[in-house]
Amino acid sequence: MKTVLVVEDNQDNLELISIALKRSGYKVLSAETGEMGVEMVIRERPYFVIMDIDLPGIDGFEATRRIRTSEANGDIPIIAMTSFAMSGDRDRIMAIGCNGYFEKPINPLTIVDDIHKILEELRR
Amino acid sequence: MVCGLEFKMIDLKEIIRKHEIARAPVGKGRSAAPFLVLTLSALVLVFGVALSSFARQEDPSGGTVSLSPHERQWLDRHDGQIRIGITVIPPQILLGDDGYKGLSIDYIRLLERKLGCRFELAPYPTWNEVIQAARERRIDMIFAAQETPERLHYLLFTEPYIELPNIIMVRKDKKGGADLKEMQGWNVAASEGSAVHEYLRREFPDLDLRPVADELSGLRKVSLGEVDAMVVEISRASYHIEKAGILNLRVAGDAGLLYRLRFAVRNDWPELRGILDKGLAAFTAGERREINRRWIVVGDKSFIASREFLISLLAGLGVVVLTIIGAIVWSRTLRRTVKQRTAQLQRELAERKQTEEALRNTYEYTQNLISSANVMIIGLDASGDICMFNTFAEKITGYTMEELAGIDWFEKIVPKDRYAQVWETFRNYREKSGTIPPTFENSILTKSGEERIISWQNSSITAPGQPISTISFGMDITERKRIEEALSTSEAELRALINAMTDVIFVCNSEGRYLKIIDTSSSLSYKSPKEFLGKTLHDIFPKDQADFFLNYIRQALNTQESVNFEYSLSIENNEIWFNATISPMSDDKCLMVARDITERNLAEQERQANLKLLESLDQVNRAIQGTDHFEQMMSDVLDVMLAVLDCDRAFLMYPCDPEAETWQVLMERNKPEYPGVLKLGIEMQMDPDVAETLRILLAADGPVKFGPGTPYALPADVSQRFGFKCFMSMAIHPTGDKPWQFGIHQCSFAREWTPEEERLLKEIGRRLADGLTSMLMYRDLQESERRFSTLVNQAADAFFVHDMEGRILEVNRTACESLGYSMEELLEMSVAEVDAEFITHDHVKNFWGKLTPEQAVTVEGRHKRKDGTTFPVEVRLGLLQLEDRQVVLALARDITERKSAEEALRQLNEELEARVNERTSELENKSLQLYDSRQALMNLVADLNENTAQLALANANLQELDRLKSMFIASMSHELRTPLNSIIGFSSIILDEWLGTLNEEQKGKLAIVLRTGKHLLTLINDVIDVSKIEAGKMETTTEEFDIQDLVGEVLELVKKEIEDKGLSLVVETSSINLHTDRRRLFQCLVNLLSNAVKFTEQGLVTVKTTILYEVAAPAGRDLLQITVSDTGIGIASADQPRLFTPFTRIASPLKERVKGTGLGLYLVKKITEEILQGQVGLESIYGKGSSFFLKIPLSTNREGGKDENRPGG
Repeated sequence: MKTVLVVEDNQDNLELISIALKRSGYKVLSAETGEMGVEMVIRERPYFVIMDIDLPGIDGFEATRRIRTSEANGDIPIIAMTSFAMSGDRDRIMAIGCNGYFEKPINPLTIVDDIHKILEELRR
Repeated sequence: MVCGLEFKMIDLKEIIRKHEIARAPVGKGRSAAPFLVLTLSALVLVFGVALSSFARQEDPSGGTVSLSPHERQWLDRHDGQIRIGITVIPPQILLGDDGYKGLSIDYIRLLERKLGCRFELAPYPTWNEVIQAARERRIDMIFAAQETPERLHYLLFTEPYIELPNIIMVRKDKKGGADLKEMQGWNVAASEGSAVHEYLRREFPDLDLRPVADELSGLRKVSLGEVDAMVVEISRASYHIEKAGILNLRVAGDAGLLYRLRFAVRNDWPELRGILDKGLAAFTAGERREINRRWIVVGDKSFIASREFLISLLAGLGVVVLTIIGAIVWSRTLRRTVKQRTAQLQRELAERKQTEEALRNTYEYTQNLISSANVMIIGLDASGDICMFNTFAEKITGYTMEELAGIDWFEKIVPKDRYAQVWETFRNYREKSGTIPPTFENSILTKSGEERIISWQNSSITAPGQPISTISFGMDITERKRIEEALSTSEAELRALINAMTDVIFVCNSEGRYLKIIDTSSSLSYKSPKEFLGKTLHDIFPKDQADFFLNYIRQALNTQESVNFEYSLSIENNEIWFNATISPMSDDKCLMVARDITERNLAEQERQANLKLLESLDQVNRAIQGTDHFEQMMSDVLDVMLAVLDCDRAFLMYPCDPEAETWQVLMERNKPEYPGVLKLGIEMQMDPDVAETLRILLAADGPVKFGPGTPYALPADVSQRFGFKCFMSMAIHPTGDKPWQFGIHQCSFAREWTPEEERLLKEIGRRLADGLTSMLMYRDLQESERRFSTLVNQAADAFFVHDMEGRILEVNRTACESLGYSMEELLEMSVAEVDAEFITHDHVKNFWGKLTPEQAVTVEGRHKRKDGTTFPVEVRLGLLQLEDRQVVLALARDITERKSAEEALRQLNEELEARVNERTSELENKSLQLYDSRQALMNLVADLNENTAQLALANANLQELDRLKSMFIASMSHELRTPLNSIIGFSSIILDEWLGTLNEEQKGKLAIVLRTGKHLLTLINDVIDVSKIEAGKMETTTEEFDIQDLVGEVLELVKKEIEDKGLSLVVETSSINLHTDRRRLFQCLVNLLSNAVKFTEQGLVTVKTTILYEVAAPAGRDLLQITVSDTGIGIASADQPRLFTPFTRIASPLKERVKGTGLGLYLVKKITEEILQGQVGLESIYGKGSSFFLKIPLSTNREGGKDENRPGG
């Protein structure tokens, strides 16, 4: 059973994503802040990370940067999740090392398939 | 012509005969009056008829000339250049004060008027020279000319411009007319060699022709009766008679010879002759008459009239002649009587004149005698007044007769102190004998106050008709009296003189015997006088001495002239010198005066020495002053030195400066045996000996002697080289130059210079120094003067120097030029004549007196030129202090141009001022108006400002509101979307039965929640996009993608709904690379496609992509057209325009069922136009379907797209 980490401060959204992930057989860990997310990545080494950008404390960009600079976890897939599209957001998200990206609201019915597509792309 | 009726018949010749010269005084003889009346009446008649006939004859065209174009052109080309040779031929051509005039000149002027041209008069002294000039073509034309065969060689003659008849002139007392045919035996004068002379000789051999030198002498002969008549050309006769004032001549008839005067032109100018002939033809009779009348006063004017005139005159006269005959007969009778009486009276008169003439001759002779006599001749009339006073009397007294006549002349010429005495003598004598004393002497006082003694001889005369009653002859005996007086005085003086004399005086005869010894107070007698008397020279003196004296005595007696000689005698062992004069007293006697001159001789020797010095100095002075030439001066002085001092060499050396490196002898004179030691101008090196010499000279104050017997040695080298044994020299010090050395050499022997020679050298040296100084100064002065005079003469200003009286002393050339005077003229003039504003002498002298040498004064005034015009000047005046007087120096500058410029400027300024004033008042008015307007405007602005402030406030409020709105939208959209996430997400999974199965009703209601949530989300997204676009904040991201992929993704979103509604989908697309904002294009296509699905219930939805190649499009700007068509409800064309406006929802049957925000198409349009840089459009048929299309560039890249973007490229 693969462990994944969702870094998300909104409980409702976290639960929705967790339901979808658990239904596909993943063990879902969660963190409510960026610092906690980075800590858990280092400690738990999840299969992939779903990272909300808009976080209290350090934001998703900073958290992603810290994860990518840690040598051991440099290759853990990180899929970003953003609730608003800003100018250059997508480029910025991909530039700091995220492997994929979703806009809120997510579609719980298709999100796991979409993640798998991204992972397959990575594996190729 | 009323008077014309009185005459019955008249013959032309008769009129001529009767008509005496016009100037004859009418009132001379009473007996002539009726005749004159008749004559004048006839004349009036003749003139009247003549005038009327001329008036008829006159060319109505007024005497114009019609030249051919060629002639006119010729004349214009030569106008002013045609030279007419003229000379004075009275009265054809006369030279008056105002230029040339005369009969022919008048014709020339008339011709000029006729032709409209000018001739140039070229005067020559004689007619022959005129002809010569014409022959040599120096002149182009002559006039007053007669045609001769010789002249035809080089001249072309015009028609005559005047025909002058020759007339017969007789004395007035010669009765009747004259006809040459009937004048056999008459003495007839004619000008010798003239045409008329030749004519008379040829045609009338019976006449006793008397050739005369000229017309005037001929006419005089006629006047004096020496000849009976003279034939002469009428204008000449008129001229001479008037000029000489001959009164007793008249015209007696026509000689039948016409002088035709013509113009003649050079024969290579036939054009000119043609032109002149045309001009002559245009002369009217009136014009001719006018000219002739001016110059011909003798004879009838009709005499020279044209033939036409004569004919018409005769015709006119014919009517009236008969009426005159009676009067003629009567007048002739009367006239004859009168003439006889007149002749008798004239004879008597002539006799009397002869007597008078004789008397007058005697009288004149006497007068001459009286006036030329060398004795005073004074005539007194009975009352004692002077009535005769000859030239000698005037000379002696200094008075003229007029000055003494009518006054008490006696008182005037007799000296006051003797007046009473003289008068007494006269009175006494008169009382005794009734006359004045026949002889007496007295003093008279001349006009100049001198007294002269006159010896008078008087006599009373009684001459009938003569006013003189006493005549006095006076001899001036002043000199004689004076000598007499002097003689008596000198006798007494002589006695005194002899007594005072120290000379030895004696009288000898020719044998040398002493006849008389004059007893003078001589103390130096050889022996006592008594020892001499009766003895001869040989008795007293040694034979030699005695012969010596006798020789002189005989010489004096032989020549009868005084002899002067000197001799010496040894008296008491002293040599005594005598000067003796022997004067002859008679043939055998002489007077000898001997004077001791011993002392005088000694003094004389002294004097001679001094004289020699002075003479030498004088020679030197003269040499110095005699020339301005430096070398000449030195040379002359040295010559004098050589001659006077008899030295061997005299020289001038320069400089007398021991420190100098070289010296040279500038001038030298030497005796021939001691030839030129130094050549002029050769520089010598200074040696120590010479330097020492110079030092000695400079230290001394005068000449220094060198050589044997002196303290100073000769300079060894130089003296050897130039062979002088001694020398004397001195330094001379001209002012302003280094000292010179001046000296003399003696080469022949070691001369001992005397003090006199030393003195002379010193004096000469002193003068030489003066001469050199003045020479050098003069040279400087000349230089400076030359510079000054050059400056003055070349100065642009006029330069005057005048004294305090205003007399001009010096001027420069500019002064002469500006005033138009010569320099000589100006130097004779005074300032008063030059200064046009000269007021009075006192005034300007006062002004000049205030001038000072230190400060020049500038004044403005006017100067007057020689021609009287004036011009403004600026004069700078200064006082110049000369040695003995002050003069004024004035520099005058012509400021005409400056003045006129100033004047122009002043006028301009005035005009400008006037205009400025005008403008100013206009502007003031305007300004007032403007001020009002401005005030109004300011009020307005104030209002505006107030409004603006309000508006700005409102604007700020609005901006604030806008900001708030944006903030609100941004935050609200975020806050709204988060809960929607949950709503949509959870309802999705519940509906998918992830959390357990649902019944149908639950599913249905939950689907509503999901659908509504999604709609709300769309709504929120659209609102966000709209607000972003409107704020211009829509971000854009371009990327490369394939339109086919994009269309695929869009279809994914609507696939389910299409299937649900059972619609057919047609996709016609191909792989096309785009470079644009993928996300926004996606949004647009989703919008259009979902609309198409939404409003279509059945049929098909078509998506189609096409590339629109446009020829005109720039590279890479080809367009892609994406069309989304449906077979739905369509849109009414009336609704189409507002389809793309926000919040528009078209009323439709589906409206209630189909959800929409009303922002979708608005967003599509906005995004397409502003982000994708394309266009959106639609075609729709209501009820049939719609077709929306986008046309967007393949690339929004500003640099242009790439070729590979093109499909199938």
